[in-house]
Amino acid sequence: MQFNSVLLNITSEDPPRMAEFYTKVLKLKPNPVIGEGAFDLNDGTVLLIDGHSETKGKSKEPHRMLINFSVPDLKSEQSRLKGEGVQFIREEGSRAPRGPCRTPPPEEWGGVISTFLDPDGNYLQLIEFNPS
Amino acid sequence: MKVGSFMLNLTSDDAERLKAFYRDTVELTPNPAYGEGAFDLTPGAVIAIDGHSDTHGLAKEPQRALINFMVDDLRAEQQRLKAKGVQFIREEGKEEWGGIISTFLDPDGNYCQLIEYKP
Repeated sequence: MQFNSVLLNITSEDPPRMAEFYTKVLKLKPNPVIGEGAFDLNDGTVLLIDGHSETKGKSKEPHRMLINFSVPDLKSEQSRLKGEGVQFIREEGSRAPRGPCRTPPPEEWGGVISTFLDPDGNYLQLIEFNPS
Repeated sequence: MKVGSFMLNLTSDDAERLKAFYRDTVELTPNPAYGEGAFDLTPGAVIAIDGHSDTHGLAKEPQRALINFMVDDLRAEQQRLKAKGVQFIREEGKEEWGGIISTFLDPDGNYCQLIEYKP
Protein backbone atom coordinates (compact mmCIF):
# COMPACT_ATOMS: atom_id res chain seq x y z
CA MET A 1 0.00 0.00 0.00
CA GLN A 2 1.20 3.50 -0.78
CA PHE A 3 0.90 5.70 2.28
CA ASN A 4 2.61 8.85 3.50
CA SER A 5 2.41 8.49 7.25
CA VAL A 6 0.85 6.39 9.98
CA LEU A 7 -1.29 7.55 12.84
CA LEU A 8 -1.94 5.28 15.79
CA ASN A 9 -5.19 6.37 17.42
CA ILE A 10 -5.68 5.31 21.04
CA THR A 11 -9.14 6.06 22.37
CA SER A 12 -10.12 6.64 25.97
CA GLU A 13 -13.03 7.57 28.17
CA ASP A 14 -10.77 10.20 29.73
CA PRO A 15 -8.56 11.60 26.94
CA PRO A 16 -7.26 14.61 28.96
CA ARG A 17 -5.90 12.30 31.66
CA MET A 18 -4.26 10.09 29.04
CA ALA A 19 -2.82 13.08 27.15
CA GLU A 20 -1.37 14.43 30.38
CA PHE A 21 0.35 11.08 31.02
CA TYR A 22 1.87 10.97 27.55
CA THR A 23 2.93 14.64 27.82
CA LYS A 24 4.18 14.98 31.37
CA VAL A 25 5.20 11.48 32.36
CA LEU A 26 6.34 9.87 29.11
CA LYS A 27 7.41 13.29 27.77
CA LEU A 28 6.54 12.53 24.18
CA LYS A 29 6.80 15.42 21.77
CA PRO A 30 3.42 17.08 21.12
CA ASN A 31 2.36 17.52 17.51
CA PRO A 32 0.08 20.58 17.55
CA VAL A 33 -0.35 20.44 13.77
CA ILE A 34 -2.34 17.22 14.06
CA GLY A 35 -4.08 18.62 17.11
CA GLU A 36 -4.52 18.32 20.83
CA GLY A 37 -3.60 14.87 22.11
CA ALA A 38 -1.23 14.18 19.20
CA PHE A 39 2.41 13.24 19.69
CA ASP A 40 5.28 12.49 17.33
CA LEU A 41 6.61 8.98 17.76
CA ASN A 42 9.15 9.58 15.04
CA ASP A 43 9.28 11.09 11.60
CA GLY A 44 5.99 10.16 9.98
CA THR A 45 4.40 8.26 12.85
CA VAL A 46 1.98 9.99 15.15
CA LEU A 47 0.13 8.86 18.28
CA LEU A 48 -3.26 10.47 18.72
CA ILE A 49 -5.34 10.19 21.89
CA ASP A 50 -9.00 11.04 21.78
CA GLY A 51 -12.39 9.84 22.93
CA HIS A 52 -14.70 7.21 21.49
CA SER A 53 -18.32 6.56 22.43
CA GLU A 54 -17.68 2.83 22.94
CA THR A 55 -14.42 3.07 24.89
CA LYS A 56 -15.06 2.83 28.63
CA GLY A 57 -12.77 2.33 31.61
CA LYS A 58 -9.71 0.14 31.42
CA SER A 59 -8.49 -1.75 28.40
CA LYS A 60 -10.06 -5.22 28.32
CA GLU A 61 -7.37 -6.73 26.11
CA PRO A 62 -4.13 -4.82 26.71
CA HIS A 63 -2.05 -7.73 25.42
CA ARG A 64 -3.54 -7.53 21.92
CA MET A 65 -1.63 -4.41 20.95
CA LEU A 66 1.56 -3.35 22.66
CA ILE A 67 3.24 -0.03 22.05
CA ASN A 68 7.00 -0.42 22.17
CA PHE A 69 9.55 2.33 22.59
CA SER A 70 13.08 1.39 21.73
CA VAL A 71 15.37 3.27 24.11
CA PRO A 72 19.17 3.49 24.44
CA ASP A 73 19.14 3.02 28.24
CA LEU A 74 16.23 0.99 29.53
CA LYS A 75 17.30 1.00 33.15
CA SER A 76 17.50 4.77 33.45
CA GLU A 77 14.22 5.31 31.61
CA GLN A 78 12.51 2.75 33.82
CA SER A 79 13.90 4.46 36.96
CA ARG A 80 12.68 7.81 35.73
CA LEU A 81 9.18 6.49 35.04
CA LYS A 82 8.98 4.64 38.36
CA GLY A 83 9.97 7.88 40.05
CA GLU A 84 6.90 9.41 38.43
CA GLY A 85 4.73 6.65 39.89
CA VAL A 86 4.30 4.59 36.74
CA GLN A 87 3.24 1.00 37.36
CA PHE A 88 5.49 -1.67 35.85
CA ILE A 89 4.26 -5.23 35.46
CA ARG A 90 7.57 -6.52 34.14
CA GLU A 91 10.99 -5.12 34.84
CA GLU A 92 14.05 -5.71 32.73
CA GLY A 93 12.85 -8.96 31.34
CA SER A 94 11.74 -10.45 34.65
CA ARG A 95 8.75 -12.71 34.70
CA ALA A 96 5.48 -10.87 35.09
CA PRO A 97 3.29 -11.69 38.11
CA ARG A 98 0.72 -13.11 35.73
CA GLY A 99 0.56 -14.33 32.19
CA PRO A 100 1.70 -11.70 29.72
CA CYS A 101 5.37 -12.63 29.66
CA ARG A 102 6.09 -14.89 26.75
CA THR A 103 9.70 -15.82 27.24
CA PRO A 104 12.11 -15.84 30.15
CA PRO A 105 14.67 -13.04 30.40
CA PRO A 106 16.41 -11.90 28.39
CA GLU A 107 14.42 -12.38 25.20
CA GLU A 108 15.75 -15.15 23.03
CA TRP A 109 16.72 -12.52 20.44
CA GLY A 110 18.87 -10.72 23.02
CA GLY A 111 16.73 -7.74 23.91
CA VAL A 112 15.53 -6.63 27.32
CA ILE A 113 11.92 -5.57 27.87
CA SER A 114 10.10 -3.71 30.62
CA THR A 115 6.33 -3.43 30.50
CA PHE A 116 4.33 -0.63 32.10
CA LEU A 117 0.77 0.66 32.10
CA ASP A 118 -0.76 3.94 31.01
CA PRO A 119 -3.76 5.30 32.99
CA ASP A 120 -6.15 3.16 30.91
CA GLY A 121 -4.13 0.01 31.48
CA ASN A 122 -2.79 -0.16 27.92
CA TYR A 123 0.50 -2.03 27.75
CA LEU A 124 3.53 0.05 26.87
CA GLN A 125 7.02 -1.37 26.68
CA LEU A 126 10.57 -0.15 26.82
CA ILE A 127 12.92 -2.23 24.70
CA GLU A 128 16.68 -2.09 24.81
CA PHE A 129 18.48 -4.10 22.21
CA ASN A 130 22.19 -3.73 21.63
CA PRO A 131 23.24 -6.39 19.17
CA SER A 132 26.86 -7.24 19.77
CA MET B 1 11.59 10.15 26.51
CA LYS B 2 14.27 9.63 23.91
CA VAL B 3 12.78 7.09 21.50
CA GLY B 4 15.16 5.38 19.12
CA SER B 5 12.55 3.55 17.13
CA PHE B 6 8.96 2.62 17.58
CA MET B 7 7.34 -0.78 17.26
CA LEU B 8 3.69 -1.65 17.37
CA ASN B 9 3.23 -5.28 18.39
CA LEU B 10 -0.03 -6.85 17.29
CA THR B 11 -0.76 -10.24 18.83
CA SER B 12 -3.07 -12.97 17.58
CA ASP B 13 -3.92 -16.60 18.15
CA ASP B 14 -3.53 -17.04 14.40
CA ALA B 15 -0.44 -14.96 13.77
CA GLU B 16 0.24 -16.64 10.41
CA ARG B 17 -3.13 -15.56 9.03
CA LEU B 18 -2.63 -12.02 10.31
CA LYS B 19 0.88 -11.80 8.86
CA ALA B 20 -0.41 -12.97 5.48
CA PHE B 21 -3.09 -10.26 5.54
CA TYR B 22 -0.68 -7.41 6.22
CA ARG B 23 1.86 -8.80 3.75
CA ASP B 24 -0.33 -9.95 0.84
CA THR B 25 -3.49 -7.87 1.15
CA VAL B 26 -2.49 -4.58 2.76
CA GLU B 27 0.89 -5.04 1.04
CA LEU B 28 3.16 -3.67 3.73
CA THR B 29 6.89 -4.06 3.16
CA PRO B 30 8.43 -6.86 5.24
CA ASN B 31 11.27 -5.86 7.55
CA PRO B 32 13.24 -9.07 8.10
CA ALA B 33 15.71 -7.28 10.40
CA TYR B 34 12.95 -7.25 13.02
CA GLY B 35 12.05 -10.82 12.34
CA GLU B 36 9.47 -12.75 10.43
CA GLY B 37 6.11 -11.00 10.78
CA ALA B 38 7.59 -7.49 10.98
CA PHE B 39 6.69 -4.80 8.46
CA ASP B 40 7.78 -1.23 7.88
CA LEU B 41 5.30 1.51 8.71
CA THR B 42 7.49 4.58 8.31
CA PRO B 43 11.26 5.06 8.65
CA GLY B 44 11.97 3.96 12.21
CA ALA B 45 8.52 2.53 12.85
CA VAL B 46 7.62 -1.12 12.52
CA ILE B 47 4.56 -3.29 13.09
CA ALA B 48 5.37 -6.79 14.35
CA ILE B 49 2.82 -9.58 14.45
CA ASP B 50 3.12 -12.60 16.70
CA GLY B 51 1.27 -14.80 19.11
CA HIS B 52 0.42 -14.23 22.77
CA SER B 53 -0.90 -16.73 25.28
CA ASP B 54 -3.73 -14.38 26.37
CA THR B 55 -4.89 -13.32 22.91
CA HIS B 56 -7.77 -15.38 21.54
CA GLY B 57 -10.28 -14.91 18.74
CA LEU B 58 -11.50 -11.54 17.53
CA ALA B 59 -10.58 -8.22 19.09
CA LYS B 60 -13.00 -7.40 21.89
CA GLU B 61 -12.37 -3.66 21.83
CA PRO B 62 -11.27 -2.84 18.28
CA GLN B 63 -12.17 0.83 18.71
CA ARG B 64 -9.58 1.29 21.47
CA ALA B 65 -6.61 1.33 19.13
CA LEU B 66 -6.92 2.16 15.44
CA ILE B 67 -4.14 1.91 12.89
CA ASN B 68 -4.47 4.73 10.37
CA PHE B 69 -2.76 4.90 7.01
CA MET B 70 -2.61 8.37 5.46
CA VAL B 71 -3.08 7.89 1.72
CA ASP B 72 -3.19 10.20 -1.31
CA ASP B 73 -6.05 8.43 -3.04
CA LEU B 74 -8.42 6.83 -0.57
CA ARG B 75 -10.93 5.70 -3.17
CA ALA B 76 -8.35 3.83 -5.23
CA GLU B 77 -6.87 2.13 -2.17
CA GLN B 78 -10.31 1.19 -0.89
CA GLN B 79 -11.22 -0.33 -4.25
CA ARG B 80 -8.00 -2.29 -4.32
CA LEU B 81 -8.65 -3.71 -0.85
CA LYS B 82 -12.32 -4.47 -1.53
CA ALA B 83 -11.32 -6.38 -4.67
CA LYS B 84 -9.22 -8.55 -2.38
CA GLY B 85 -12.24 -9.25 -0.19
CA VAL B 86 -11.46 -6.87 2.67
CA GLN B 87 -14.47 -5.96 4.79
CA PHE B 88 -15.16 -2.25 5.19
CA ILE B 89 -17.42 -0.99 7.98
CA ARG B 90 -17.23 2.65 6.91
CA GLU B 91 -16.65 3.97 3.42
CA GLU B 92 -15.47 7.45 2.56
CA GLY B 93 -16.87 9.01 5.72
CA LYS B 94 -16.49 12.77 5.80
CA GLU B 95 -15.02 14.27 8.97
CA GLU B 96 -15.81 17.78 10.18
CA TRP B 97 -12.08 18.64 10.04
CA GLY B 98 -12.06 17.99 6.31
CA GLY B 99 -10.64 14.49 6.12
CA ILE B 100 -12.17 11.40 4.55
CA ILE B 101 -12.01 8.09 6.42
CA SER B 102 -12.70 4.49 5.46
CA THR B 103 -12.51 1.80 8.11
CA PHE B 104 -11.68 -1.84 7.39
CA LEU B 105 -11.10 -4.97 9.42
CA ASP B 106 -8.13 -7.28 9.55
CA PRO B 107 -8.78 -11.03 10.05
CA ASP B 108 -8.82 -10.54 13.84
CA GLY B 109 -11.33 -7.71 13.60
CA ASN B 110 -8.80 -5.02 14.47
CA TYR B 111 -9.75 -1.64 13.02
CA CYS B 112 -7.54 -0.19 10.32
CA GLN B 113 -8.34 3.06 8.58
CA LEU B 114 -7.49 4.84 5.38
CA ILE B 115 -7.40 8.61 5.78
CA GLU B 116 -7.23 11.12 2.96
CA TYR B 117 -6.75 14.71 4.01
CA LYS B 118 -6.00 17.52 1.62
CA PRO B 119 -6.13 20.78 3.56
